Amino acid sequence: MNHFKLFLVAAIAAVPTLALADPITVARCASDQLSVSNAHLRIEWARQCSLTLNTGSVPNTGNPANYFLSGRAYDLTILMTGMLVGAKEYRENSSTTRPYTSSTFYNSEINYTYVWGTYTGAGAYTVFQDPTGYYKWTTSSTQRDGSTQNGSPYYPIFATNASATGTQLFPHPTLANCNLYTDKTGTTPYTGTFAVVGYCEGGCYTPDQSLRFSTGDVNIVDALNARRNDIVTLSPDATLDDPRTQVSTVYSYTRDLFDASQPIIKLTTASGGSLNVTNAHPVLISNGRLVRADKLREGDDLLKADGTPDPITRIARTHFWGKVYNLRPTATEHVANILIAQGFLVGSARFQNEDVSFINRTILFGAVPDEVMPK
Amino acid sequence: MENLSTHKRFVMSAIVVVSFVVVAALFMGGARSPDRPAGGQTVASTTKALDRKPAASISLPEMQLPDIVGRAPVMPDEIIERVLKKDKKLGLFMDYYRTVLPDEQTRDEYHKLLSDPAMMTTMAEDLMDPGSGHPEAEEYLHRLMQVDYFEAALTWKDNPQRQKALELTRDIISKDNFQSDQDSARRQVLGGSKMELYRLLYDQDVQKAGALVAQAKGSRMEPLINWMAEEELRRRALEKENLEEHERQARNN
Repeated sequence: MNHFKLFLVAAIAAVPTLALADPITVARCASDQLSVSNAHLRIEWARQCSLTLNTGSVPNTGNPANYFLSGRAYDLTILMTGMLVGAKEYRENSSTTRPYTSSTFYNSEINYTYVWGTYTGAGAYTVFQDPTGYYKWTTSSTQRDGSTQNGSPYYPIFATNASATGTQLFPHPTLANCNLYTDKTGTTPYTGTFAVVGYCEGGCYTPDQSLRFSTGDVNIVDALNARRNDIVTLSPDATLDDPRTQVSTVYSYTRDLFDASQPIIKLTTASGGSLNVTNAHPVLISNGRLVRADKLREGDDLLKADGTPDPITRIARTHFWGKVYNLRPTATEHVANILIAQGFLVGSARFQNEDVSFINRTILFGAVPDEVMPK
Repeated sequence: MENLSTHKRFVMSAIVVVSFVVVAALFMGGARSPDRPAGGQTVASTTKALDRKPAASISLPEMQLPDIVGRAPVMPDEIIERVLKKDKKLGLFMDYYRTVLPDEQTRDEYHKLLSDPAMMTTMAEDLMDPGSGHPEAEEYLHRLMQVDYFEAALTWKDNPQRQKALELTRDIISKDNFQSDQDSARRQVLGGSKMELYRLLYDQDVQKAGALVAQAKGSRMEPLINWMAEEELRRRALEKENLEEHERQARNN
């Protein structure tokens, strides 16, 4: 059984690559930043609101029995009997003007969008009925550490429309209802049409971590408090052989609004160095590529600021209670978004998983009004 | 844009499913237990699925026949890799593009690709091609990665073919490839790619972006190009606004 499940995961999940995120999405994600636990709650909230409000012929008339069989994912229980049968799925009405699920890529399919945001990837899921009667999917063993959920879930963000004119909207802070609000405190409900304008993930430093500034390494909280504007990044002509640096201005600092439990990866290296980051934080390895911290394995080489490989000798997964921090340099070139944290080369907050980045860019295609395009 | 016929898609999908089943059978065979069907049985029963016969032993209310046989890769990562397997040159570009910090030799090879006039022209012709039918996720991703090629070619400030890259970017944006029989998704993928390229042109050569707006006057493309120009200004204003909001929050915290 376990071998078979592992096969499914190995066959279908791909190693994620990181890419620079669209600037509008970066800004919107920073305005609606969530801890991992709250991100999971947001994803579940969006699923429930989609199901209960937008799956019937008119709002609020959805019926759990009105499912269809997914063409994207298998029902694992049935698959184990040797049958390839799609998992039970629901779709948000295409006519809805207040969707909680993007139509991009997954065609408003509610359960698939839920598992894409929640898990690290699988092709077959255990299907069961949730307390409201709707079928829901779950899986396990989707990560190397055996944890079942994505350590950096993809949660939806909302605005009145995808274009830059769109006003950002927020769910109630306690997710008390399916309304969206123009303010984060949930006091002014918004009654018009809205759209999912992107999916966000987090990646940050714990407050004890240091980043390199022009004067040397500075604790990130102290840097934020002092509004340090002289971050050291790699220069656009840096190479692995010659990782030359430059001083860049800081575009923005990011800090959680509220304290929360954050899953943390603690990396220790052969040289005695250490780096504490959240699961999705981009870290540069010896082939010159960025990988998420939670995908690193003992023996992988981190890169020191001078380009020297430094093998990881220990990876500890733990939780931290509090706020986490990050920053973005003004520079938008890929290599100029490599910073030096605790003496290691890491990516800035502009990087996002490549698949989310592509999906978000495609969502923003929806900003182009049909009436301005030639008929 | 390449469009596979239904037959080809079916055959390809069948090959994928058969491979999946064979390897699954091997795994199941290796982990066989008395209370689970053996690998051989799995192959036999899923072969029935290949014939599109419903599973007689399973009764599900209001069941529609699932399109499992025709299942295309659905995780974006899978689709990206499929696109890159088909378009080898784009695959080579993405291989370099994903290497944020290359060694000198790799960087030099990458720069050759970014300054290759033939590659640029091919990418531009693809992006100007209106394509046909409803665009699938594969086409969206193909176009986005081609846009990324122009982004990489132009952000390399010393690119000896920079002028050509700028001119091709301008040409793609101004190309009227909209047709009356296109569905809204196809119009969106064409308009959206142009929007990203306009943003790039504005970033890299604001005068050329301005000239493009002037040149479009009176053409069918005028409303779209005007909108892109206005949207770019709105986007920049939004970024500034967000930045100020962050500053305000940071001060309050």
